[in-house]
Amino acid sequence: MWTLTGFKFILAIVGAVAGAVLLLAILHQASHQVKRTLTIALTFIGGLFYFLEFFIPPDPKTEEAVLFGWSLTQAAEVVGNATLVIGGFTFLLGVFSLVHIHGNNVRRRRPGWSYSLAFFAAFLVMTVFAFWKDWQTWFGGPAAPAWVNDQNLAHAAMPQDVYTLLFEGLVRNLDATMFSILAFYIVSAAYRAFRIRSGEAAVLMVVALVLMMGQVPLGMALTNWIPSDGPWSGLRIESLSQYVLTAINAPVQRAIGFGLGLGALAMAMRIWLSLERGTYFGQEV
Amino acid sequence: MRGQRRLPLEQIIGRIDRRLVYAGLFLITLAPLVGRWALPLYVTPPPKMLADTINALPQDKLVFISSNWDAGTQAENRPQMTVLVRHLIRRRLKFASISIGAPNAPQLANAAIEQAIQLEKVPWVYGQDWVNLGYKLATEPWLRSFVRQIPEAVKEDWKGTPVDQIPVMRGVQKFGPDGQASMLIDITGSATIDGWYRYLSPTGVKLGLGCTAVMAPEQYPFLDSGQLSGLLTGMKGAAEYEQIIGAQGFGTTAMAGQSFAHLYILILIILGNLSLVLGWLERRRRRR
Repeated sequence: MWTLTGFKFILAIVGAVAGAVLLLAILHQASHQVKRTLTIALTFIGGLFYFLEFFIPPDPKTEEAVLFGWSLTQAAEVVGNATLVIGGFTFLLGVFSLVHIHGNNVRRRRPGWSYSLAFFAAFLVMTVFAFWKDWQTWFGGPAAPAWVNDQNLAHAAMPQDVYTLLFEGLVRNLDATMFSILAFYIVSAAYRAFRIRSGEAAVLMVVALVLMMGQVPLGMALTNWIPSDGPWSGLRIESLSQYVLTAINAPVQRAIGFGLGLGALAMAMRIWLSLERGTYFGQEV
Repeated sequence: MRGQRRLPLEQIIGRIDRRLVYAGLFLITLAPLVGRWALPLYVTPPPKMLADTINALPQDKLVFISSNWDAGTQAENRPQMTVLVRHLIRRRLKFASISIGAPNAPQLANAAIEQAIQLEKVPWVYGQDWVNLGYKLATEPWLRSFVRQIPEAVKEDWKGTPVDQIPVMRGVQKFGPDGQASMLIDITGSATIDGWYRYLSPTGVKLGLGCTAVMAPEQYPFLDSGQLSGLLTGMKGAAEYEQIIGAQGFGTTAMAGQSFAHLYILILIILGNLSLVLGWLERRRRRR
């Protein structure tokens, strides 16, 4: 593996960016046919690489898939890192998109623009304090003050700094709150919409009742009077619930999984061989 | 008031104001938590299997906890994490926590582990007995690399300390019967277990899972096939595990709240359907 430092490192980054820009410029000028052929070829080569790496039996000593003396397993890590870099660009795209949309909302005073302003404030504050806190660890330079990065061991359980306040005090609780609200919607929806209007709905209701009550102590208490051993034990609500999960649910899940696997295989083949048509596949790139 | 028509019963029970429904749920869930009520619980086989597996693990090997939960699912996953760590500590099994599903997970996992250590009241030292390896982006190449040679994929803990300077990680190379890691337990609110099935199952290492209640039905085929050595289903799984190891915690208390919430939902569904039936009877009576 290459390890570059100092001027060579900066030169390598500048060279890589310049090379990428040049390549994109050439591709931009190329005809639709060339772009399409290139996309198909790269997709096929990428798929073929992982196909061979997975299916070639590994060397018993090194546990690596080798083709003509070339370790595909080691190369897979490099390719994987390259995929991560490409993935990093999508993060940048996400930030750009958020700033663009919320920036327009604020600029044009659209309804609810104050929420967009809250987004900018939250984004800025969290970014500044998260980077400031660990700046010295990652990039060197002066240490952050205690109110930004509390290193006091006495506060190890709950550091008294701004980042912890933002993360533990706000992000974590807001996240939990958002998820908890679901429970209220589910209760309301179950009350208003779960009407038994057909035989299928009745079956669903009975199974839901068994599973819901079989999951909680209060439900289990309903059939507590049935002996837990012996021929009648299967009628206890927790036993019925386990029966539904293992004897009915598990085979159905297997069938769904099998169908999904076949579908995914067919889809993967279509994408690998560029047979897929429709959105993004048949259009000009 | 004279002249004002009384609402028929089916409309009263069929159109309860949603704010009342919400308030009812809030109070009925909160009361057992405030009162610290605990209801007796029946232990089902999946958590028992997980406890038996952990009881049979050798003490000279490391256990990995793949902590992949976020604040959204902490009500279910945090009690699972805490009780499992308590069991590992009681068995003197050293462990490493690693996160591949949520960037916030290492911080939440750390808090849960420290709580478990406090509850067990034993000196369980960071670096010597346990380590938090932080968040890793689990691409397919990373998973393969991690399964083949752990130090190749994990070079430092979540605070940036190189793993070769962390005593508990010294000599830990790989999973499986001839490796130094005996088990991986995935505590998750997302589909991270799929990656472990694909890459870790072939090594023969024991796999355990603690997931949210809605995810559990999908996992029963893997329990049947033996790919999973045990399963904790949501908060109930945590409560059952607390009962198995005799360490009452948040799971047991919170199950009382969940019990009443389930009962409340069922009563509301019955009321809604009663309103439907009464309305239908009323319409039939008018037609005659």
